[in-house]
Amino acid sequence: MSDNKQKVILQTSDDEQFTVEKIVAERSAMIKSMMEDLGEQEGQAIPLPNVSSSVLTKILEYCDHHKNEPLPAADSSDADDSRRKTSEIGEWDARWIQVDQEMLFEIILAANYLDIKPLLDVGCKTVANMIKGKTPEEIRKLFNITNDFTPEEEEQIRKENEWAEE
Amino acid sequence: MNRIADELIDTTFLFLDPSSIISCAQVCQRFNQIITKSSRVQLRLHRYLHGCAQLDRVNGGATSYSSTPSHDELTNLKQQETNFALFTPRHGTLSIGSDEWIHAAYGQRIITSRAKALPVLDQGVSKWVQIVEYTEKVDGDRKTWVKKEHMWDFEPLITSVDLEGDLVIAEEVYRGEDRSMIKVFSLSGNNIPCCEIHLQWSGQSKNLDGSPRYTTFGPLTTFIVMAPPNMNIFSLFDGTQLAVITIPGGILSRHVVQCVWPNYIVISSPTTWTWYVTPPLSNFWKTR
Repeated sequence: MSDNKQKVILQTSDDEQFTVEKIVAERSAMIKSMMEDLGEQEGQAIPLPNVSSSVLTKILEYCDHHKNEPLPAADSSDADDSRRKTSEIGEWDARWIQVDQEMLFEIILAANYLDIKPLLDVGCKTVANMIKGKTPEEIRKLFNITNDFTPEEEEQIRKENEWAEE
Repeated sequence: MNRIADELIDTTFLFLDPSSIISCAQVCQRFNQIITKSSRVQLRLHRYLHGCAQLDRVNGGATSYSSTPSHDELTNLKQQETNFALFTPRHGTLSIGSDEWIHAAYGQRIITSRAKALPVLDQGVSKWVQIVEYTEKVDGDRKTWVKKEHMWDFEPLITSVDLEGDLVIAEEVYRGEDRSMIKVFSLSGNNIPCCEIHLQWSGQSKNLDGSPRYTTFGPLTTFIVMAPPNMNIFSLFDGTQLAVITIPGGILSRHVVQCVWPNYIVISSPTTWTWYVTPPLSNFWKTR
């Protein structure tokens, strides 16, 4: 068996088990380090108590598609710089992340938990693109947020930000 | 949205254009707080208002740049730097060593700088900062770069690039028994001192022989300055601890002061004198 065909078992919060190629699972820095900790124990499932099976299914699609790309260097500030360069999202990623808002937030939370930096960026960029060009009221509506400013605060904030509205 | 941690929302805001960030600040208390607290987002807004800058660390002679960049190199730099949408710091904090050049572009201006240490006969080492400023001049179809050179003959306490790519030079203008005053210049602000920092230490930080333990402040080498209107943010690292200080009067800021220094830091802004006894960092985060 060649090395990159090795399998790993992932167990979701709803107790479903996924058998996944190692190279796919390693997109998650968190799973990768767990695998290193566990060593070569055959058949031992890695528990993911914060991820449901529906979200993991979706995320594994992403990991599978990107499995042959180089992994971002851990804690490298250079990598951090380049990934912040643009708010553009790759074509495949953009199509893949066309999901409802609930799922989008689930993906962001899971990407953060599983430590998949490029995926986290795709998620955050998608939310940013939804916000872009909208008024505060439109943003509230979009995310179902209650306006919790008092009228005085609202006036104050409006004044503070006047400089930005040419 | 409620389940998403502040940190992730902060990251999301980083992908926004400035006017969308302003809109978000008006959505709800939580968004407003995140934007107010986030130095990353604040600095981005600062860039929007004051032009953007990026820096390249260039080793004198050792890279493709010569110590004097060519016309094409300057034009190239300018093109790279002026697009806000593409703005991203290329470096973390860094300090330039002797004879290393830093290039920065601010709109129509490009500034290059180096700190140099030269051994002077019988007088030890002379240290100075050389700043070369290029301004683009448009004359019909012809574009030229006008060169202006400044030499600062003080020994810079630090010459550093902050996280957002601004070039910062700090000079210690006074050192007393128990205090030190540092002037900080931000080169995007026309070399006008953007703040003064007064450091004061008490008997606790004296060496065993009773001499002031200045080394406490020595690792100031990576401190960061950025000044959106009426506001200065500093991060001071002493190797293990970090302080972020916001001077009152900021537009999106709340009045926040924090520091984890052994004793306390006194800060003055150019127009007001404000004294703070700073609480420990842990308390600071709790009270936010």
